[in-house]
Amino acid sequence: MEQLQTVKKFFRWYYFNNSEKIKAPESTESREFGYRDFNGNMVRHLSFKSEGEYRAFLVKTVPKSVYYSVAFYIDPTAPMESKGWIKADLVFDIDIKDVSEKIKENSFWICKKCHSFGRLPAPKVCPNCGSEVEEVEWVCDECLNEVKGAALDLLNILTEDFGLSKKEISIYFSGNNGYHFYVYNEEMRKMGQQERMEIVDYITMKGFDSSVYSKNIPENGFMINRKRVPVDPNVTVDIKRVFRAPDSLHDESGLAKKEVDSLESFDPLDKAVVLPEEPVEVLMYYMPSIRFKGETFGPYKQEKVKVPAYVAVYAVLKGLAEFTENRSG
Amino acid sequence: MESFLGVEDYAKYPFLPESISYALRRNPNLSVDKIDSIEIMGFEPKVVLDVTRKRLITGIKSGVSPKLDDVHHEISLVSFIISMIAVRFIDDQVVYSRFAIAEARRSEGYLLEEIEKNPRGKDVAKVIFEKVSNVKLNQLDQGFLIPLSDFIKFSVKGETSWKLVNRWVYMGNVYVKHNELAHMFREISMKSIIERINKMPKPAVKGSLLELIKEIEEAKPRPRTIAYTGKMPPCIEFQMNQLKQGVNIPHSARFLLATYLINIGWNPEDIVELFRTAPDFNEKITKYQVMQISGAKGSGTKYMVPSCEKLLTLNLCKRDETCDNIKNPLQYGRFKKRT
Repeated sequence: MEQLQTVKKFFRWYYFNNSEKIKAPESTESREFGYRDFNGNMVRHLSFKSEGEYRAFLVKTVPKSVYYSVAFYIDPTAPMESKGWIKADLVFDIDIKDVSEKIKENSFWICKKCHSFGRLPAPKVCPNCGSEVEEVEWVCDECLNEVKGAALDLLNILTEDFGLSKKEISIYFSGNNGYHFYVYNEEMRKMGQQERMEIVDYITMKGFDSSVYSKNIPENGFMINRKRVPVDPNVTVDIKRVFRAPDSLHDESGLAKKEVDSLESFDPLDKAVVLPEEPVEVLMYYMPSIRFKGETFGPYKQEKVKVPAYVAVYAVLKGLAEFTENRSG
Repeated sequence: MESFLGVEDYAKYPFLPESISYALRRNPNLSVDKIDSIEIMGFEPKVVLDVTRKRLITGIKSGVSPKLDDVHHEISLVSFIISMIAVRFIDDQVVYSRFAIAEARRSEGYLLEEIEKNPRGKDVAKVIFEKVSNVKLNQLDQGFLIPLSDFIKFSVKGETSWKLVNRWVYMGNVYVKHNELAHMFREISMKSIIERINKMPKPAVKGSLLELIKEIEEAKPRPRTIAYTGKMPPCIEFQMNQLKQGVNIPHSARFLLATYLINIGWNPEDIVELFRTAPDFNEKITKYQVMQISGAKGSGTKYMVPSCEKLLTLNLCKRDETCDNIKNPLQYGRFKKRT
């Protein structure tokens, strides 16, 4: 718990120093907000009247993670069945584990107690001490490029097949291992679950039948290059979901959910790093090497090291390190 | 574009808002209590009522309203309005659906004729479709482009060929062939007619129209009630309720119902009875198809119930928490039928 209190200190620093840059969603007052605190409690059905009120909440509460609804409601604070659903942003979630083969090679397990570790597949319990083990997905440049490639494919489908303008689409690095897409097209916002499932099936090519498809091409029509993008169907179809808030910090990495200006040149391990540079001492149980802001850290194995706060928080939240001194407060 | 359509078009597509406005403008005295004395273009009230009778009885019995090409357009148009009044008086969703699909099919036939035969037909078809659906189309040689969100809204649910993933989609438009546009037109028209009837206040009918209504009551489908015990899977229960309400459920949903009920031991006659409330019910075809599915005809193989995964891709899955861990609707608890 003390470890998390130290993480909270850095989260507080971020929200205090950046609150002016954090954007509230369109029609803030119509959205349901929710957050998880540093004790693990989830609170939902909140509402804010303005961007100012939302920012003040972030600075005061310092949530471990914060979310708001893709939906617009008449009364966002009412119980779910009586909120009065109006419409919802169409959203997509691309996760690295569904895209990248490389991430599977990089990932590993670590014992929560004795910190032994090894390659996947993970044993049921630690072979050294019999305690619980945890799987850790470890990103690398290659796997981040693979997920970016999938995001570019999705962007192509949205703009070329679905004819959406780039102004109707926002792309965010999720803050951990993937990308989130928002579509603000009013016709699509009105779609229900079944209609969104049709969209997901198109993107994931579920139910594709080439012999049926070939009969549905117009005479003299050109072939369209179809590419499958493995978006998470549950995210898109859930029209009442609370989705991680843009510019907020991810509770499993300490990185920010950052808007992407240009996918081709976006480097998440640079742009999403928002915690302080201040050196902090941590005991690294085990951490493979990782590149942040162009600098490589690690590999570390059972050693005390001084690293920038953003590296320390990343390692602690992944269960790979502990702060050596209590810095909460 | 208002002047583009004439009275002949209004008679072919009488449920369009402007067709109804035209009829009411031309016959300001058209009201329930004056039906026995209404004269259209010099024709006696009996003529108008006879046309209405033909329209309704043929439509409800056969599933397609007669074209009435030999009838004066104005009379044809008014007979549609009187038919709606009669159907509303009966106050039964199954009759609403049956009447609506019969009318929608009649107009679908005209729409296809326009596209295939008439030189200016594609333009007319485009205008008519746009008027009934509020959707803007783009015309191609062999079909039309329809906006993506409208395609998803109006496509036939549960059919592989209608799934977006199997369609040609470009710059926010989906390509549909002429016959597919006509099919969508039928579904949209049917919904629009039912909506219009539902919005009408229940009329106080008397005189000759009341006599006609008695004849329609006799012509309407009368399914036997089939008693059963046990709980159906939600996907089956949903489609059975839809059928009861006269909803025109897709072929894939009918296949699901038939395979499921045969596999839990219903006899084919009871299943045919269940489909009697379908707006497009045809006893001969339904019997043949149910017998095929049961294995009593055709290849002799009893068809399997589609898996839950297949139902999910066809948008027929209505799963709830009780469906956990099942892969086929048949695994949804034991089911006993009581006859």
